[in-house]
Amino acid sequence: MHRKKFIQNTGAILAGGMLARPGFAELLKADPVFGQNEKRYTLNRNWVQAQPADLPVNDCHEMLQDSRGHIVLLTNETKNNVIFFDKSGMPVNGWGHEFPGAHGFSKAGEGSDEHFYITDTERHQVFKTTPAGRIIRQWNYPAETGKYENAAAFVPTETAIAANGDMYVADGYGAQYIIHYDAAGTIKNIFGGRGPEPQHLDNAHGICIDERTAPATLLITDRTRCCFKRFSLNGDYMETITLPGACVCRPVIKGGYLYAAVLRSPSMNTDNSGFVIILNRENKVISVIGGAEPEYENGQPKPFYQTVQLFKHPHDVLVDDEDNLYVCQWNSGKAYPYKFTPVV
Amino acid sequence: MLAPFAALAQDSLRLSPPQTPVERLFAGCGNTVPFEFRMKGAVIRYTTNGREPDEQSPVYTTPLPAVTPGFIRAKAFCNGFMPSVSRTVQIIAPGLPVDSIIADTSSPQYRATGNSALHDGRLGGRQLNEHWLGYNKTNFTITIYPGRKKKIRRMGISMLRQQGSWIFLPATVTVYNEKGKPLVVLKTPYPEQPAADETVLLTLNIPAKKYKRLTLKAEAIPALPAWHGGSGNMGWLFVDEVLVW
Repeated sequence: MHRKKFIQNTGAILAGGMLARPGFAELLKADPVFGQNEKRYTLNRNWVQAQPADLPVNDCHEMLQDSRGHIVLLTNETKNNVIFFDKSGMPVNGWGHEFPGAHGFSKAGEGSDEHFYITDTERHQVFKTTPAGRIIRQWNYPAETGKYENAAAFVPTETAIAANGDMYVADGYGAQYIIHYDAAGTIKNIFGGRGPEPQHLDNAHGICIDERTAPATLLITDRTRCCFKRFSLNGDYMETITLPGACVCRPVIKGGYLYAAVLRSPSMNTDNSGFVIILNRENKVISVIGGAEPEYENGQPKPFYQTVQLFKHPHDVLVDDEDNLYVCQWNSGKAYPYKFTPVV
Repeated sequence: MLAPFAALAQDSLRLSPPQTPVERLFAGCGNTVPFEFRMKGAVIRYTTNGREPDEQSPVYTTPLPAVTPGFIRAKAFCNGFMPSVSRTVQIIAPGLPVDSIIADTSSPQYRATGNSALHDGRLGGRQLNEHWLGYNKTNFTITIYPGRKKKIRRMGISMLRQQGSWIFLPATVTVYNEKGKPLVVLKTPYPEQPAADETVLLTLNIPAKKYKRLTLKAEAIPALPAWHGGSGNMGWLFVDEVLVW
């Protein structure tokens, strides 16, 4: 969509947005503080300055911050799959009508070299786009690995791009493999898959590169089993970070901390039970937003659960360049993302 | 001055209910009910008379003894938030001892300890391979030999609803006397919509008598409902305990 047309269309949104701003009465009431220790926040549920009639969303799956500082949302609403907001919540641009299963959203590069990576669970494909929405490359199901009989078996949920340009694709709703491509886009390795051993995965929903370790490693979600699993960049299993009761979505690392939306708790069978979890460099949970405060016994965390009905099904956390958090949700009444501001 | 403004303030968030590891347990035997809610500034308030807890209800500090059959309810409270809905734990009166219970043979993978599982005083949870007898058929029958020791006026059958695993409550439960005459029929509502996982104690009142033999028959819904992913297929019936009082 052309940027100018998008702004014209949001003219009506601005008027509606003014009426939606918090009033004097709301400012009188002290805002509750969410989270614990050094990661505490106040909440703004009305951050997005728009109305659904003008700016529709469906499941708000994932977000990133682009090189220009915009907060960018990926939704499977094909009226506008990708929506750019400024930090005040004003929509400033949007594009995308061809991603009905838009799910994973990550980026690589900066400035003119910046690209987005989108996984589509309905098209069974991975896409590399420019920030303006031009598709410059797409990957179909990895037939050459011999692990997939057809496209339907490949349901990619996430990508992660390493410093050398290698790409890792998590098939989190399909056969649970991690497919490793080199920077030219050719398959180098495949690992993970279903099974009971530590190196196996069940709902490998998210993946990220962890540059806090030397050398860098991969952190991969095993959502059914409420944990993250660390692998080397070559696909060798290293360790499990157990988070009892927390069905985590993708790991997001910023400033030494690991953030994750917890979709449901204690298992994937319980509706409207999500919260957000934050771990420090030692993989210890130090803050839970909307859930049980962290407590450790004999070095193990006590099970986590929702304590405040703040979220239904949080699906991703974005941490911006000022350490604000944005949390978007799946299957939550088409809710817009919430913004959390750090309390110093 | 601030009170009218407080009334206009943005909606408060509601708390989630306190946690407890069990949904129901037998009274006595030293059984206790623990609750937990890890949130600074929050308290748990509870009742043991089945009523909804409120701001005047006692504050929970230590696990509550399961003494009186009925319901223990607990809610979380915290300034600045709306109280949670209740978390409920059912306290069940232990049944009278019986001579024996003989059930139809259940599916091999859900056999627990066989007939004795139905009167061992242990209630099943959400782990299907513990304490439950599972039947993938249209009905099952359980025969109880009370031993004519005491008058029996009520029966209970503890069952499971876990629709995601194709486990539904029975459509009907019928109790027959020694002569095969039906004493009472209990009907459950047809599952028009999905319902949450739950362990349920179905109870039936029968004429008070020292019975020599009682037969209990549970009939499944004809097939999984239209809204279910397995619609048209046969579902499962799961039972973990049969009680007489």
